[in-house]
Amino acid sequence: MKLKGLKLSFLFSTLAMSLYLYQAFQSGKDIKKPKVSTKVKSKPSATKKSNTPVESSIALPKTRNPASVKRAPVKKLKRGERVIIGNGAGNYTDPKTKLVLINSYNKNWKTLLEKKLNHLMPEKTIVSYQHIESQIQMRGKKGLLREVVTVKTQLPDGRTYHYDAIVDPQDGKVTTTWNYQKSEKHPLSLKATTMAN
Amino acid sequence: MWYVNAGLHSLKLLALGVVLCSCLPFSNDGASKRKNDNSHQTNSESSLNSGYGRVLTDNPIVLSGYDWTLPAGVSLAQFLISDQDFISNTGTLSSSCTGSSYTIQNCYKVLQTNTSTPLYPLNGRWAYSPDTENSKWLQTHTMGHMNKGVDNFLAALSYSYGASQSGLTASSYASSIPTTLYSGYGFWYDQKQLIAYSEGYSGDNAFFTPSTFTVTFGTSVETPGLKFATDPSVVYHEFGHGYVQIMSNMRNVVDSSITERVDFGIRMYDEPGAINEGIADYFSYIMNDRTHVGEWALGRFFNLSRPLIESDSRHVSGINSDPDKRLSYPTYVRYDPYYNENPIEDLHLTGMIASHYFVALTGDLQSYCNKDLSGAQKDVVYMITESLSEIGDLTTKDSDVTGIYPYSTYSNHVNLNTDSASAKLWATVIRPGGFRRFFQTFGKNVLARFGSCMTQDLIEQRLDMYGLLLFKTFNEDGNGYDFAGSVSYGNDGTINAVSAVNRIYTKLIAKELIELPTDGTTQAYIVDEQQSVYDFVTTLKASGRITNISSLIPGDLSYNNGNSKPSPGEVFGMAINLKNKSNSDMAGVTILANDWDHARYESGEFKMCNTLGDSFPLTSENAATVDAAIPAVDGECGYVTKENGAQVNEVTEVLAPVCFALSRETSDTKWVDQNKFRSSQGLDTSECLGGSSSTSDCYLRAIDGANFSVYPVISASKTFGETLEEEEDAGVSLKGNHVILFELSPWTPPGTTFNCRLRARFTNCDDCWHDPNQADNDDYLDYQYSGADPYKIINFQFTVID
Repeated sequence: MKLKGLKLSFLFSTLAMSLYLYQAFQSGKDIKKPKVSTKVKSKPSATKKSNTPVESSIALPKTRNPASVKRAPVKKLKRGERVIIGNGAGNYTDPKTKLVLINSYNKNWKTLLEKKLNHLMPEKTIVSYQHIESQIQMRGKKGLLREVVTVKTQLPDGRTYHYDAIVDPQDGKVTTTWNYQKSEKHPLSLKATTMAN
Repeated sequence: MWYVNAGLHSLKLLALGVVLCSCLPFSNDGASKRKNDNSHQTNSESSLNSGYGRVLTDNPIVLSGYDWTLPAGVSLAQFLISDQDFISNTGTLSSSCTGSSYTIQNCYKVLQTNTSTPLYPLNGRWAYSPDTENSKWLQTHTMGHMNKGVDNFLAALSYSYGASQSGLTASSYASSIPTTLYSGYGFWYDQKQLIAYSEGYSGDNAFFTPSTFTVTFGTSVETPGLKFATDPSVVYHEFGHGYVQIMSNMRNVVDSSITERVDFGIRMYDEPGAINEGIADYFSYIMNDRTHVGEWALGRFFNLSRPLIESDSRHVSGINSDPDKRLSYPTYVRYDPYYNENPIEDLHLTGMIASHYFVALTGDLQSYCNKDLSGAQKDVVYMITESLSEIGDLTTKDSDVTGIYPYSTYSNHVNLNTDSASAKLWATVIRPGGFRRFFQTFGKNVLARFGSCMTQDLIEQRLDMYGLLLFKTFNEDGNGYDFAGSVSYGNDGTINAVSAVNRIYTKLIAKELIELPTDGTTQAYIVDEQQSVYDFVTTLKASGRITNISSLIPGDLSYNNGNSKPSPGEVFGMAINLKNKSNSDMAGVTILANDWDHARYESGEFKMCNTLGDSFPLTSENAATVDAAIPAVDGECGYVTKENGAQVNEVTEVLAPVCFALSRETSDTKWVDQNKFRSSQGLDTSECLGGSSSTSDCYLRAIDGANFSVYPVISASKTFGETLEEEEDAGVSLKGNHVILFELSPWTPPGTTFNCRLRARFTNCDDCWHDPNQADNDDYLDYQYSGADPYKIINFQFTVID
C-alpha cells in the first residue's frame, strides 16, 4: 500500500515537475530568441513607451462627433470673380481701378490645357482636372492672370497620379506644379549609351 | 488510508511545483508579445469596450521575438494582447482633431481602397479577427495607429509652437514657425482630411499623395498575403512624409496670398528627398522607441528595413559609435546594410545618415540638457519643424518677427524678396534643403535653442562626425537683399563662425576640381532610344514633374532613333560625365540647365558675357560688349539680377537660355542666340519649339522640371560614369535624376553645333556656398545664385546629325 502511495506521489510530482520545466523552457526560449539585436539602448534609453499619447495641450476627447465637412473660412481679396493676391492687391479690388495685365484671358483655355495635358500620353490614359480658383497675381503694379487646377492622371497600367498646377489662361500652358506623389519604390531606370562625338 | 496519504503527498508536491512556477519570469519582455500558453487573444465583441479594438503593438517580426522565418500568411491573432486600443466611436473609422483653439471635423479617416465604403463596428466594437477578417481588421489596425501618430504629431507641434513663441533666444533669432499657425490652420495641410487606404494599391509599394492628402499602403504582388500596413513602423514612416509636407508649408498655408506649395524632394533622387526619408524614419522611432524601421513589410521579404543607430546588428562591422566610424556623409550615401559589397543609389539609404544623426542628437539632449527620452525626441522634432518651416517658406520673409536686425521689413533669412514664384524655384532647385542647407539651418536652431546646455563645439563636433559640418558659419543673417534700399542685409548681420578645428571628418572641396573631361573620355551619356525615353517622359508628365513638351514633337516620339546622338525632332536625356579631380568623394552633384544671367541683350540678340570665369566665348566669337568704364548696373555683364529676371524693378535685366548655336555664316566662329540663328535660317517664329513668344530657345531647350540633374556622388578621382560602374548594374544604367531632358526641334539643320552653358555645383563644395568676397566666410546671397559665382561653369558642345 505504501508502495502504491509512493508511486502515485511520484506520478503527481513528476507531473508537477514536468509542468514546471515546460514553463521554464518556454520562458528561456523567448528571452533568447532575438536575432536582430535590440540590445543597445544606452543612448537613447529604452524606456518602454506607453500607448497613451505624448503630453500635450490638446484635449483628446474619447467621444468624437461624426460631422459634416467644416472648414475655417479663409479671407481672400477679390477683383470681380478673381481672387487677387500679392503685394498691393488691396489697391485693385475695385474692378473700376485700372490694372495693367501681363497676359490675357482666352475663353478656350480649358481646351488648350486639355490638349497639352494629353500630348504624348499613351492611348487610354485618362487625364482629368478640377478647376479650383481663378486668380490675379500682382507683379509690381501689373497683374498676372492665373488658373489654379488639380490634375489627375491614370495611366493604362493603372498607375494614378495627382498634382496641383497653375495654368496661364492665355494659352493653356502649365506654368508651375507642386504636391508630387512620393513612392517608396521607383523601378524606372534608363539604358544609356555613350554619346558619339 | 494509503491513497489519502498519497494524495496529500502529491498535493504538497504539486503545491511546491505551483509555487516554483509562479516565481519564474513567464511574462514576456518588451520584444515578445506571444502568450506563453500559445492561446490566441480573441478580438471578440465581448472582450471589447465600445469604440475599441485591438491592433498589433508592433510588427510580427518584433512581436515574435525576431523570428525571421515567419511566412507572409502567418497568423496575426497570436500577437494580439489583452489590452484594448481605442479605434473610433464616430460610427466609422474617422476622427476629428481638436485642440484648445481649433476643431477640424473629419480630420482623418481610414478606408480599404479609394472606392470602398466605410467600415462599421460590430455593436460599437471593432471586433474583427486579424486572421479570418484580415481586410477589416487591417483597417482598424491602421486607424488605431493613425490615432496614435496624429495625436503624437499634433502634440509635438503644439510643443514646438509654444517654445517658438518665445523666439528661441529672443535677442538673436526669430522663429520660422508662423505666429498664426493655429488661426491660419497651418498645422494641418490646407485643412484637408488625411486619408489612409489600408490596401489601396496592388503592388509592392506605399506612397503619400499630398495633392489628395492620402497615404496608400500596398498589398504585395511578389509575396501574396503581405500587406504593408500590417507593419506599424511603416505606417508611421508614411505618415512622417505627411508631417514633413505640413511642416515645410506651414508659412505658406497661413499666408492666403501663397497658392503654391513646396515639395521636400522632387526627383527620383535628390538630397531633400533623402532627408525627408530620414525624418520619416525618425517619426517611426519616436512612436515606438525602436531604432529600426520596417522589419516586417520591408525587411523580411525585400531586405529593405533600415536601422537608425550604428550599434544595430544589421550594420556591417566597422560602423560603430566611434567618432570616425559613424554613418557619415558622403561615405555612406550609397550604403545598403543588406548588400554592402556594392553601392546602391536610393534616397532611403542616404536618408539613414540623417536619421542616425537625429537619434544621436536625441542622446546628446538627454546627456547634456537633462532631458528624458520623450523630452529629447520632442525637442528634435521642434528643431526639424523650425528648419523645414524656414527652408520651405515661399513668403520670402521666413519669420513673422521683425526688428531683430536693422531692417524692419524682413527677418533677413531667406529667399528672393520680391517674387514668391522664384522663391519656389530657390527652395526646390537652386538652393534646396539638401544636406548642407538643411543641417546648417538645423545646427543654427540647435545652437540658438540649446546653446546653454550644449556648447557650440559639441554641436559642431556631432555634426562633423556625420560629415555634416558642411558650412563655415551658421548664417544667422540669412541670404536676403533689400531691393528698395539696395542693402545686402544677408551679409550684414552677426553670424556664428564654425571652428575649423572641429571639421575633422567633413571634407570641403574647391569647385575647380569638378570639370568636363578633356582627355578623350566621353563627355556625356545620352538616352534617345524611343521606348525608353517615352516611358520616362510619360511618367514624369503624368506625375506633374514636367508639363510642357512642344507640339512640334510627335506624340509617339517617332523621331527618336537611338543612334546615341541628338537628332532633329528628338526628346533626349543627357547625363554629363563630369570628373572629380579631388581625392575625396563629391556628393549631391547638381547640374543646372535653366535660364540664367549669363548674357547681355544688345543689338537685338543675346550675347554671352565672357567675364564669368570660364573665358568663353572669345570677344571675337560674338561675346557681349564689356566696357570697364560702365558700372555694373541693370543690363550689364557685371550686374546680377536681384529678382531672377522678373523685370519688376529691373527693366533691362533678363535671363538667357543655356544653349547657343554656332553660326557658320562666315569663316569666323561666332556663337549666336537661337533667335539670331533662326533668323539666319529663314525659319518663321511660329515654328519655334515654344512658338512665337519663345524664340531665344527656338531649336533646343531643356524641359522645365527636368532641366537639372542630380548625382548622389562622384567618387574620388573618378568620372560620373566610372562611379556608376561601381554599382551593381553592369555598365552604365542611368536613373531619371541623372539626366537633363532636352527637346530638339525637327527644324534643326543637321550639322548644327550647340554650346550649352551649364552650371555645376555639389553639396560638399567650399566655394559654391561661401562667398570668398566676404571676409567672415558668409554665404552667398540668394540673388547671386542667378549668376555664375556659386558655380563651376560647364560648356558642353555637341553637333546635331540627321
